[in-house]
Amino acid sequence: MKKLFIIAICLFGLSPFLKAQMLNLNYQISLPMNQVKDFTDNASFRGFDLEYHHFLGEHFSVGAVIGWNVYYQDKKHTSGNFTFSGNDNIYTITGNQYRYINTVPMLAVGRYYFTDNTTAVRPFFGVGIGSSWTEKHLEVGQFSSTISRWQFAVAPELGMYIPVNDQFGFNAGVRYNYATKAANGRIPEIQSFTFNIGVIFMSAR
Amino acid sequence: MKRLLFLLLTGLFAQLMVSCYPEGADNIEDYDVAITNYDKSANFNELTTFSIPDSVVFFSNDKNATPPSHAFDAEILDVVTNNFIAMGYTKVADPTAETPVDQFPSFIVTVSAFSNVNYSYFVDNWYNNWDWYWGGWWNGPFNPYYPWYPVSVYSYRTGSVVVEMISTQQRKDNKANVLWTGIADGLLQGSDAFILRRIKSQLDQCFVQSPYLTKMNASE
Repeated sequence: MKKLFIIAICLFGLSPFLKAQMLNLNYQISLPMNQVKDFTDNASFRGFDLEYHHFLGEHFSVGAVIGWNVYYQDKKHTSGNFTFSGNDNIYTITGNQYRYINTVPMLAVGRYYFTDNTTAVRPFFGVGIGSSWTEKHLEVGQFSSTISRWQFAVAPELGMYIPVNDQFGFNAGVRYNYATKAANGRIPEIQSFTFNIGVIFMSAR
Repeated sequence: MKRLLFLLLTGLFAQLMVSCYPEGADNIEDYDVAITNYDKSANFNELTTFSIPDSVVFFSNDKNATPPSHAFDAEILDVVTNNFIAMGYTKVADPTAETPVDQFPSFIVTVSAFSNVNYSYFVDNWYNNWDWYWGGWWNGPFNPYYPWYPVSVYSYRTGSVVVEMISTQQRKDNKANVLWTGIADGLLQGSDAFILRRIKSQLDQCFVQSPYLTKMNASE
């Protein structure tokens, strides 16, 4: 959290150099990979993010992203070994397992735009670094198990935005999310592909 | 103005930034589970015979519960007995005060049934209808503050049938020597036939997931 605060202050300090600001709201579809897929093997259609970018000249922007994705899987009639808090006995529980992963990435993003602001479509490449809060939740029968942690996150992205006029545009992109594992592996390493599609509100100064 | 809008949106976002658990169980039987636990140091191959009482012991945390009917005892005990026989054990009569120790069965099976009422509350706010998070509910019987908003209380009844294998060999610390526990657990809702069918299905599952109980020389 502190890192993000410091970055935010630096961003505001850069205000005299800023040409334009961009507020972006995206709907996201995410595909889980590797360890995320092992736990919830379904694409997430419940995701969105909010982004804020400041242009530094015509080819660079810096900004911040906060997003939210939910992965869900209903594993019918599965067996698993569990312990209950308080003792070490291992219980084998068979039933319908309802599995959820909630992730909230919070990243500082820097982007490079391949074209200047006169073209109809502006493709970009960017990298985000920050933190991601992830919660893994499993329900079986009357019982549930929840664990959540903050993880270090990195997310390169590729996309384009299509300005319609000086104040409005569309955004489309793809981002690869990576977050380190936590809690001795109980929170998995997050790897996923996210497809963004959304709208942009811009102000030019 | 734009900055204010941004801050407003972030604040709103932060309000929503709590976990979402969409979908989940739809039907009563979605909550049924079969739970087993066993003593890792037990040697099941040494066991040969067992006895089982002819009734199920009932426990309830609800003083107002109507006394349970023992009409289904026989069917439940049959399921348990047949499963143990299929695993290779032989059923013998219950030991009495006159039975010599060397003719005791290797283990005794006890079957108990629990019926508990659980109370939960949820807060039915006006914004429940459009915000998917706030429509959720949670267990909080000991919440110390007086809620400012209308609270809806509901109760549900859960039931468990617990089968235990108790060895007739004494433990050093005089505790019951429980070798294996199998539990059929679920919501106690629906018709008697519906509940009984689910109990039998979960008890069978308890044995299916305990292959270590099978005696090696069972198939002769």
